[in-house]
Amino acid sequence: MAAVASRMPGERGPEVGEFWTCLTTGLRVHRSVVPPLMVNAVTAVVFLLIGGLLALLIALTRWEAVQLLPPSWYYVVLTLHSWSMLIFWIIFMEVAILYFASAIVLNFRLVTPGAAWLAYVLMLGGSLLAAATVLFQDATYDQPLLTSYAPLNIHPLFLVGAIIFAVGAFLALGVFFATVWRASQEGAYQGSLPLVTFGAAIAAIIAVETLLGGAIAYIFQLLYAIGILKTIDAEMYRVVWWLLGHGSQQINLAAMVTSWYLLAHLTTGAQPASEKVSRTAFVLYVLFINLGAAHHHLSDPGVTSAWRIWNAGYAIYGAAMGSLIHAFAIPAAVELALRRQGHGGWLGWLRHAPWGNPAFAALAVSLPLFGVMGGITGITFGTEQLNMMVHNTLAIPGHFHGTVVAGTSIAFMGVAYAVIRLIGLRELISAKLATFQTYLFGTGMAVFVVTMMWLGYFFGIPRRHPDVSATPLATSPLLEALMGISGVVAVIGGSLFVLLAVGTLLFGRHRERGPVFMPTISGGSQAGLHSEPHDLRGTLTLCLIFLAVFLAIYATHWINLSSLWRIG
Amino acid sequence: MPLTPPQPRNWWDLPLGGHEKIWLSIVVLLGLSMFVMMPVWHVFGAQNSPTETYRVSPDYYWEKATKFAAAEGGLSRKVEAGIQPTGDDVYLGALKFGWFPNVLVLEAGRRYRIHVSSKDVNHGFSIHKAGEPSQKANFQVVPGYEHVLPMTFTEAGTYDIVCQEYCGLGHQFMLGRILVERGR
Repeated sequence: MAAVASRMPGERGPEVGEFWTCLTTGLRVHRSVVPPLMVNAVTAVVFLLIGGLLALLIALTRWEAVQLLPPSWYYVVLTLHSWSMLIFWIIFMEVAILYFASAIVLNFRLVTPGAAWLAYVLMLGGSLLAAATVLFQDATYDQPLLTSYAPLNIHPLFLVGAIIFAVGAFLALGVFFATVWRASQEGAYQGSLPLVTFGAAIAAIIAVETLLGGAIAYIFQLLYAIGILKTIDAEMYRVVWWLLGHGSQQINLAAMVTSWYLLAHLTTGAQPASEKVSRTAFVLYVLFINLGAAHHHLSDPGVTSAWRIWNAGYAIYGAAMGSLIHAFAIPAAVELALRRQGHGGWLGWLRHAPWGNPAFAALAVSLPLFGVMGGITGITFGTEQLNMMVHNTLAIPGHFHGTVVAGTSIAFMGVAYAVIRLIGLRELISAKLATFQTYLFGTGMAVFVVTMMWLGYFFGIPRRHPDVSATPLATSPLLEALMGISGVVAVIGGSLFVLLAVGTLLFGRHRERGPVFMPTISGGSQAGLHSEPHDLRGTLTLCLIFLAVFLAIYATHWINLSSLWRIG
Repeated sequence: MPLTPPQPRNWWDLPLGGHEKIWLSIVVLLGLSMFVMMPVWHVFGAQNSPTETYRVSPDYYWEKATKFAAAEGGLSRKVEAGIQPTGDDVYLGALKFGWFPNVLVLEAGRRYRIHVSSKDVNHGFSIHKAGEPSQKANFQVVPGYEHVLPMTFTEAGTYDIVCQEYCGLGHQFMLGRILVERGR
């Protein structure tokens, strides 16, 4: 690729050249990457909007004083909401992040932009086919929800849509790997991959495993649905499908953590205190995180205790160790950066963080909410014996709204706010409103998640249920009302994001492009950083507080379990 | 910085700070303790997820559940008085949209082996002590798999069974009950 490199410096003007430079980060942006990146990101946001409006209908149905939808419509809406959010919003956004982390971070072009467009067309086509099928299928078919557990009667076209989407996503992963590979071959960077690219590569590797699992499950189920296979093993389907179901949310995890490093850097100039520690934590994800798919079979027939303990415990909690390390390393990076800027004190540096910057607000809201709401419950609910008390209750969606919505979605919103400025070259129409949106959405989700978990854990209210009043179960109208209202607040917060993002792309003030060529920024300051003493008192204190909360909740779960009648 | 290759090139050899070392030690210790906690509970705890499973055809299991109910004196699907099993093995079948038999009368303090399986799709065996909402346990019921759930109810009372896995329209009406009485 020496040809392009040699004709770059100054030979073409900024408007016609193949590269331009981001004035804030100094990153060189190749024109081939911008259109697919922006189109994937905008598609993601559209699905977020659709999923959000559907979320409103679900929240108002589960709030039984309102009970908006009849059961038949409830399941249609639940299916579309789960696919729009957990699959379409997240994966389109992740594709955008992969293109950013490969081509843009490595100051390189997107190789095979044609394949990137084909990937996009397949993903969009597959998602529309699947969505249209569940919307218009005839009543003899079951709604698949997210999981389409065999042997439910699933419409074959839905499965075809899901497979086409997966093929598209697979191709997008190929574009990412090819871009990183070519960049390394052509010397676009020296030494190891930048941390953001490394984290994205971790997400992409997990995605390969995930999509292979999904492909196997869906292909077998399609053969069953069209009658080629006469029987299908229902438990085997569950085990294989969850490689996709759980794995896809681990792509989110890796992409979200990568986003946190990115947001911390863009808003405070933070650099990881130790590349070794941060990268080792990412490697722990690759080694152990997909074992977590077993969390879904802790109360299933057909699996042994040893299998459950080994897998659900991520071997020896390797993946949990990874997350706990990031939980320290990211605030530590911020603390070091702020201390270097002259802000001292035990926790005094925190007051000088850029709380008014929407991208920082996204970090500051999503990281603790992910840890406290999603992380702790992920460990407790995923413990072999403790799972009996929560399996298939409302506490489970409570857990993953803590991880995927309060965690991943808010982090991605922060990335979107940053990327719109850096790559979209528009000033936010209102940074103040964007910051407010982040806190509003975070608050709504926090209350929503706590009420869901409370109803599931202490009342045993089932998930995926259209009408608890038809059962003899006791419930709490007050908690349900809080859940409904906080759900509505969160949807308003989420809609505000869509409004701001789309409004900025259409009406935001233009930002300037930098000159065509700029030498790669030197990482010289890093050497100096390592010779400073690492004063991380503040971060250690915050982490110890988190640890205390963690242990209290973990112990409470065991105490509650011991109060049950004898089982086993 | 996270957007450029790490510097210096020997970044792997750089030493860690003191605070980092403290946290890393805590993390490793926490992971190991939580891992050990699960086998320890198998030894000392009274609530452990059952694993005994048999691969069966759904029709075969259904026949077994029917025979059990007939032998114990009730064949109609709605036996309001409930079936009082004489032995310790209890067979419960799940199908859209009900439990068969749908009312069981069991003795407190006696260890029953509750067999569950499904005739059609996935269901959820979710059992709740009436009046004490946090007293509940949940298990997946999978067609083709006969899962044995050993349970000893320590207290008399009504235990409601609801289906806790989406099984189609009508899922919410899939209810059953276990009446636990003091030993005779």
